Amino acid sequence: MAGSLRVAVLQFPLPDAGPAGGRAAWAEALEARAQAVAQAGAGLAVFPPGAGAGPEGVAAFAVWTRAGRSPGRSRRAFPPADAWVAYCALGSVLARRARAFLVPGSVVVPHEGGSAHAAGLFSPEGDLVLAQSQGTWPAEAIAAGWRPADELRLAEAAGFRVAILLGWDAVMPESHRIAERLGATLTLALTAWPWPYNPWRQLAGAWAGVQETQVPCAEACLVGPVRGRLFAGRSAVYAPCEATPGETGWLARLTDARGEGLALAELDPQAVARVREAYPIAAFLNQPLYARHFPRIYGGLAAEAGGAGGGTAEAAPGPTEGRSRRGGRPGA
Amino acid sequence: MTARALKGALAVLARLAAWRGRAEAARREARRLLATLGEPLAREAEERRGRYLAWRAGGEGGGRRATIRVAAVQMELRPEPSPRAFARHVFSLLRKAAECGAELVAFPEDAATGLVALLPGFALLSRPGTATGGPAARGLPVAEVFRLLGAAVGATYRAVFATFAEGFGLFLVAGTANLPEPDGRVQNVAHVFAPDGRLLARQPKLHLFPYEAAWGIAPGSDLLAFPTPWGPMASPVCMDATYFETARIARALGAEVVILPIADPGPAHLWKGRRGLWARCQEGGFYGVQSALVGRFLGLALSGRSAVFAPLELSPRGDGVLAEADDPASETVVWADLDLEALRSWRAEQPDVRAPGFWRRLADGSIWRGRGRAT
Repeated sequence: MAGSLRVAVLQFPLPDAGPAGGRAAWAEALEARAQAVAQAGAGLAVFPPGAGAGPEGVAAFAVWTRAGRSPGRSRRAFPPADAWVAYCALGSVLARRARAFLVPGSVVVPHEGGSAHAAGLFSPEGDLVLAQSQGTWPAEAIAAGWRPADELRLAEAAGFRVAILLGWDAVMPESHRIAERLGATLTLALTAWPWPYNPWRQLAGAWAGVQETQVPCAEACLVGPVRGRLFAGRSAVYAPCEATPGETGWLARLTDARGEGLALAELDPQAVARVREAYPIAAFLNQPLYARHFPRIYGGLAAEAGGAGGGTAEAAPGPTEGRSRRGGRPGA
Repeated sequence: MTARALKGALAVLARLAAWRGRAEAARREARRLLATLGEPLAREAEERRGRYLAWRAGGEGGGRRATIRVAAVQMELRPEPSPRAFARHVFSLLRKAAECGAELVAFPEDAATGLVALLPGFALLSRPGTATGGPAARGLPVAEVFRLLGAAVGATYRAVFATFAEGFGLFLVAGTANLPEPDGRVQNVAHVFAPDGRLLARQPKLHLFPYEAAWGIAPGSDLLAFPTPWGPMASPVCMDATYFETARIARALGAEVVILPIADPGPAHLWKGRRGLWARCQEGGFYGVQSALVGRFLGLALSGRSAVFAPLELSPRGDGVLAEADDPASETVVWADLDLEALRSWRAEQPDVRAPGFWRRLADGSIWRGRGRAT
């Protein structure tokens, strides 16, 4: 089993994308954060969503922040054709500067005639070790051209098996369960919570997902304005209550929901393993129960995805009974 | 004493405990207590029962009622020295709930467990200063005790709660009792009684706590919804709320209110308390009524806060809490009004979220293959 890992989650406003800024200024601002990660001695760090978009990608990212938040607000995004290439180039530089595994925020990219919201995990050597796009979307956003991921992928990093959860993925318990069943030992979440901020809404997402799967999660939140819309959040590193001081369920959590910050946590996989041993939630999953109901609850969606290798679901049909219509409106 | 000899002794004692007259004595006591209700409680009970019977006579159709006042009892688990004492205990709590004007009242998990004190010689088992750590730590074959006492406990438990459901004219989620099934398995089963005293639903616990599995309790295999004039409701049990899967299924069954009897060992804790029904209410978009068992019993210390939860946006402080007990260690009753029309409107405003690629694994069951730890 891996030794403990120092994890950093950062929250900050997107760098200035105006005429005075540009790509160089954007990169410089992010490199300063990467430098802070290195100085903190973190082995893994997560930047907030949108950080990797660059000034050219802000417009498309702003469209993402509005997708599905309220009826009629989902629009198609038109990201730059080279958005992913530019993101990877920036991410590689930042990870090397951080001397850590790094998710340098997220980016909106063109994908299969529409667009996708994606992020990558880069090694300290600057190599891309995991790429993941967002799998969970409001039906309206899918209809507007947002392409859901077809799979949740895992990669080895710093002794952990890591999955990336973007926007709605981080909020939905299904994502945390799937990650856990695939063998994840750490999830990295990137979320954008619109103002006014409700801390309970945020905790009902990744924090709750961690408690029911016993897989720790590092959540980085966007703060500040994006094209006139304000975001707030408290970046945190969550673990099962029993493995955290005061049994709060977090190892570190920023206190200022609106300001910039960096939270550091020592993640001890053996402490988590002891909790799972003493209180083995996964051992009591009731498969016969799920087999009875889940095909009806989730089955229509599998057909929509077009079978294995799909993931290009087009306009969604009406809601399936029991599937989640839910509140919260996190980052799309 | 060997386990075999102990089992034999228990069988003899259980025959004594199964004396049918005990349940009848409890029923008589319940009726006697109901006769003391007086006005206005007796009249209100009759009105509630009348509304329910009219709804049933109308084919259980028509428009759903829009609001309901619910109460969650926080009950002490203590040895019940007699069926009549058990009836008096339940009555005292139900009376408080009725005085609040509740139309649905929830009791906690293991509400019937105090009746194992009917077992002759129980006082020796519960003697202070002996081993701690719960019944299993004392070497008791717990499932055997429940199996052998099942007839007596079950009959008394059902007689008391059915009589009170009718007498108070309430929907009564009577907590749970560990009872033997016809196939011999012992399950932890929630019982729901209608305002006419009819047993409306039996809901076995679906996800066990580790010590229950060690005791030999068997999990149930399905979640069921029961009909009410407010729409379908569901009553999973305690650990079932640790799993989002329960919330998704309850929602698929049409439940707008989920009632959860709980019995948590150890000291009550805010954050541990929020990872159960509170979290499921946010994920499932329904109201939650949680009834907690408190007290000390056979070496187990129990605590918890009875509460009524809601989706965050439907709670006055935005924290998802409509009512919650102040003290997690003593008996009390909490209540709240649930606005089901507001819930329906709120639900209609929420985005219809989906993950067609990810969720394929849940639909086809492939997600359960591979790690091999699930039952």
